[in-house]
Amino acid sequence: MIVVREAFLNVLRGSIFLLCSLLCAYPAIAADFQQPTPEELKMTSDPAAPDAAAVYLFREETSDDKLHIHTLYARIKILTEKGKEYGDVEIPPYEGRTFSIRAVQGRTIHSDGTVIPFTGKPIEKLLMKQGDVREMTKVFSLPDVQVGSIIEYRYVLSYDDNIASSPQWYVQQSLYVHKAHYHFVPTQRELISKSEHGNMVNGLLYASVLPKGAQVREGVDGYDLAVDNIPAEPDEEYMPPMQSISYRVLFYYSSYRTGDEFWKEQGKYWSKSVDHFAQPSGKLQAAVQQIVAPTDTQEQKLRKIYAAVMQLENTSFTRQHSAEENKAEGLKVKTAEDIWEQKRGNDDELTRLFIAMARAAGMKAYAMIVTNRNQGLLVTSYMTWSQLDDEIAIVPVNGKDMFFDPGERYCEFGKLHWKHTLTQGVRQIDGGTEIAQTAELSYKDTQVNRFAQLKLANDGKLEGQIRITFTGSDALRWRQVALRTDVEQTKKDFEEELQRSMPAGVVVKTNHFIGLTDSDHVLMALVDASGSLGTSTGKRVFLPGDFFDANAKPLFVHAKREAPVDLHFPYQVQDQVILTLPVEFKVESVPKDAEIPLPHFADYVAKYKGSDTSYSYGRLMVVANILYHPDEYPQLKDFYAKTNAQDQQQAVLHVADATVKGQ
Amino acid sequence: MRRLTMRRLGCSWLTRGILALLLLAASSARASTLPFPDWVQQAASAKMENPAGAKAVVLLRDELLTVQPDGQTRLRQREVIKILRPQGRDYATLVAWSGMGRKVLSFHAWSIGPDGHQYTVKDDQVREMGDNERGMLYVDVRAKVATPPGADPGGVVAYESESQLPSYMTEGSWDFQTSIPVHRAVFEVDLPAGWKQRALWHSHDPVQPQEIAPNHWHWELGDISAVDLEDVPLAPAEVAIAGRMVVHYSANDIAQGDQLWASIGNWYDGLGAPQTLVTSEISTKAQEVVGKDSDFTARTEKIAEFVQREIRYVGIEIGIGGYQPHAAAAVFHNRYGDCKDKATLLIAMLNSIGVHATYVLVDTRRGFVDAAVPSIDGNHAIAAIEIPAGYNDARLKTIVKTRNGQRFLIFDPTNQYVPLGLLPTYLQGSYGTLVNGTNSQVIELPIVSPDADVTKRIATFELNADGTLQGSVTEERVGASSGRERGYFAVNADKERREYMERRLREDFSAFQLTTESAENVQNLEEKFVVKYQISAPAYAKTAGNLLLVRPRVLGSDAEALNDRPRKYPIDLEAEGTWRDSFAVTVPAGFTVDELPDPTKIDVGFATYRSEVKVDQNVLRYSRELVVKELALKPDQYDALKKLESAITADENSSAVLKKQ
Repeated sequence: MIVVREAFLNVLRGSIFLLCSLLCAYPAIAADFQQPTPEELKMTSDPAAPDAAAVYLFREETSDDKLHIHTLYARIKILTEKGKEYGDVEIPPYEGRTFSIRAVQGRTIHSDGTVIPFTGKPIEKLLMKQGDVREMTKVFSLPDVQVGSIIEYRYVLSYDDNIASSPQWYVQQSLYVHKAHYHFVPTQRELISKSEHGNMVNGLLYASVLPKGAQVREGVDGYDLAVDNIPAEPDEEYMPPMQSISYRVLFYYSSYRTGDEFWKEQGKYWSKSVDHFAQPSGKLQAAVQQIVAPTDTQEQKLRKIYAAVMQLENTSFTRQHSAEENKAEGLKVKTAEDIWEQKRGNDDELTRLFIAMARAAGMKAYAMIVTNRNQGLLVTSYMTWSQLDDEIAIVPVNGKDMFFDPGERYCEFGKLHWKHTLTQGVRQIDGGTEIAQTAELSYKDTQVNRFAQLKLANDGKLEGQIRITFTGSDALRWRQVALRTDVEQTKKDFEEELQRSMPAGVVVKTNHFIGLTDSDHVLMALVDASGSLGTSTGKRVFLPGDFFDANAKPLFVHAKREAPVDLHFPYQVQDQVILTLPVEFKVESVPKDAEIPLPHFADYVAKYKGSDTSYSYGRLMVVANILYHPDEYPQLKDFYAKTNAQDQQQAVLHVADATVKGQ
Repeated sequence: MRRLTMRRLGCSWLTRGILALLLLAASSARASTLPFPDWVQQAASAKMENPAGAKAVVLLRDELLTVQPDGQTRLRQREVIKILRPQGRDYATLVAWSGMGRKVLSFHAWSIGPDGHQYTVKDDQVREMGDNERGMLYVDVRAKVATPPGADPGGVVAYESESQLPSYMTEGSWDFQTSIPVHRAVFEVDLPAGWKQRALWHSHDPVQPQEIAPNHWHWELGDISAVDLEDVPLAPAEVAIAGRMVVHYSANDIAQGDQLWASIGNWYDGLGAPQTLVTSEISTKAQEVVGKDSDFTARTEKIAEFVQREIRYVGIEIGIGGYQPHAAAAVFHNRYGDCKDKATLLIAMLNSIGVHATYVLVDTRRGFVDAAVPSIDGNHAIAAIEIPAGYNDARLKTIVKTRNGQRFLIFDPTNQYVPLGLLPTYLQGSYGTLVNGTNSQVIELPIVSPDADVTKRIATFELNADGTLQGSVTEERVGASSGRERGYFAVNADKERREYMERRLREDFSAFQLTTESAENVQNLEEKFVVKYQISAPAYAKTAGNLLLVRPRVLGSDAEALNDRPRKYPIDLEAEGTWRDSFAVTVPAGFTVDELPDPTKIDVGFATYRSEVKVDQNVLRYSRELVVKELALKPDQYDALKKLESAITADENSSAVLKKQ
């Protein structure tokens, strides 16, 4: 459950400055480590985390914003060889001018109870420095770490008196946590928030995602949390961005008292900046008049404006130009009009230009800023604007909101990049902003049609042409590859990807693309096929029943699954393959027609046909649902396994002339 | 030891890491108000045809090494790069390295946009990045990094840096060949009067320098092709085939050949030997470890295993620490260290039990160390253990004999899973500096014969009429190649091991269940490493009318994916070895074997492959053997390799036909 609680303290944070300063003495840090229990020493594996390389026996984070310190204390039991890596400690990066690390202590305890203290010095390590910014860390390695050891360390992060730093307790770690304790004493001084437009801080808030039963306790001594038995964060393929919703408590000083107030007020600032940038200026109105005809319908106008914006250089895919560089070129970037005139802008600038031009055409047009689904999920109870990534556009057409993604160059009209679908964000509405959600894509939005006309010679040699058309997310992906590189590189990347699933012996070479820079039409790839196909025995030749996926591997193989599955976007793939046979070969058998359903979510159909002169098949695969609960994983895995098995079927040819053999 | 020379500071892994980081950031610079360097403009205006397919081209790489009479050395580097394709922007991140005793005294960057605008990067727009190499806890290497504007196709970026080199360096290296073409490369050495220089060339014919001023030497090369290893299967390391020149300089006469190797090794001996001092703790532990064993191999093996297993790999390199190991006592106390630290403790422990051992300086990129180019360059340190006169043990397969008749066993204590007597495959066939005082010399690291590196897969299966295959598999591995697999099983827990097996089986089965899985001798390096598992694979055999089609090569692949592009680089086969499979598949009741694939037999000299399928009553028996007898091939052997791989691929995909009775 996600909880937002308003603190009783009249204090705040973000990136925060204290209005008054007060000198504080550093507190004495307790130097005693916990004594290990005999059970901890003897432990060789952990039933609570049977496959763990190591586990936290205890983890403690304390923060005192009055004393300007955070502390960390960790006790880790090493269970495997891999777990020994935890003996190398790299303290999370900190800003080197304001923050410093001190009082580093550590020790290693062997399973026989022998204690080896850490007597070395932690080494300060520069990560990045530019101007006044110094990103630093400290590293140290604990001595004589063995499988079975318990390692312990602690350190203090101190920071300047004139700032406050509320903690972020990431309760769920990469390792299983047996017990953890967190404590926070906020400052009571007046603060202003740098991240909230310099507003006076009004209170301390926190957002939490905690396991059942765990609760942050508020008291006169601050905030306290004790948790136990926290599983490690999962790390699996095709996982949604779980890092957004792992167990955590995130404190922040804020000038707002509620989440609604935060999103509304911060939304106002954002909306104002959008409207300022996206002014439908006279020049833009004149430009729009050149683009659209008065007789155009609203959708026709939008199509023309969208196409015009898509023609501009999108520097998010080429190279961002600095303000100095723009200045040297006599360019400025203050409004959408500037973007239009200089014919280039980044993704958000182009989105705002589209909005400005739609407005210039007399339409209502709104911006929406979303959390990219490939990176995170919006947690509205966590009042931090930085959760939001990209801007998209919304235009009501015939009473219905249409979504546009002009910042994603070559995204089809009226469609969104998949990372902008099924996600939340803040959108403009008349008179303000609100939290909103974007729509999902349909499998009809991403269609791949693969057609191959092939000819097999009696020596097994193959030649032919392949034609593949793409729409939606797959078309966008290849168009954007070309945008980031060039056509030659894209041809190469494309054929390499195609080659991986081709039957052994077949060689594909991209001939050319059609529509690589035209998102109004399908993208077509024309590919030459050569090489050899099939294997033979004395009297038979065996051909892969499926051509395009003969060498594909099943998508999922692991028996167990902890996290949900996110397939990113729904899709449909349709194949038609015609293979002309040499006269010496006759079709003896073809694979049985097959239909493999994943009820409600996906379907697969394949039909095969053999004649005296050819072998052909058609195949359709539709994946309509992209999100799967772990409980649904076995069915999903089974679906992909069965379809893959079907793709491995073989057609059998009879060699009429015994002197002729395939390869 | 990660890098032995300052030259290696520019190694490509870090450059790439930083590129990835910095390309996210917008470049920033001010329009130039200062005079723009002539040399940048001259290089940018060079008349040349853009090399076909290149992402970018180095228009000028100009280095000047200046040595003062007191031995202080400075290196001035200038480089001008033209971006030719969008992905060539990766080359527009300009870097100057410091650390390990090298100081960057100045760093400036400029650019010319495709539209001709000139930019000068201001000092406060240069970033400084720390080292973040995986596996190294701390290295004092830092990089000054600039990302000038205008880095679009047609744009030109340039930098100049001046560095103070560490005083112990007496050699410089000119890397004139890179992953992109170089239009003009210049290297100059300015020496005090009376000083000597000797230049040595790797992967390039020697070029005579011009003395353009007294004791100021100038080498120049033009239109150097790129070493483009993209899409090159079984490629050697780029640094192994790229041309470079190493120049040694000294106030005294410079030795040649073996004598120069000896002086390099002797120098390192002075650096490393004091660190091998045996303390009472080390001596006591060494005695405890070897116990009462008196056999040389047994005693040495126990010490080796102790260092391999008990000393965790942790790299901390500061200043000369890039070369000089930590003291054996510190390594022993902390139970951690990097490769040269582990070698140091090994040497100390062996010395304490009366076994002479020393360092061997090597490089994990086979072919980089060139016997004809004496140099301190390298990225790894291992050990050489002297074998007593007259002692022989067939298990010790990595013995080299020195010119003075000493026999040394070459051993890598950093690799935890390749035992004493063998050598990791990535080191075999390389050259290294055997550090042995004035008797130091370059040695060729032994190549272990194919019969000492064997992988066997033995399996028995039952096939059901519905195509389901069930059975048990045993995989046995002996030799250095087993190290990687052992390592994975040793380090990971059951879940990772199971998932690893599942990922491998995905290559051969659409659907399968891994019912059991176990490993034997994971840590017992003297015994063969064994993995046993049972699988059930539905729909393994394909139904075709009344036929059942079975792939006799049930699992595992020995094939390498090659391509048809013309081969111009040597071929690195990674390891010599033998791979044998023996699979038995019981045919389901009611089916008879109708057809079998033909046997395969091919001998291409550097490798042989044979396979056959037989029927033994109702059992299909598939067996095959691949023997790779050479580690590296010449480019003109690529066609033979393709022929071999084609035969293996065809065999791996062939089917046996079962017919319903």
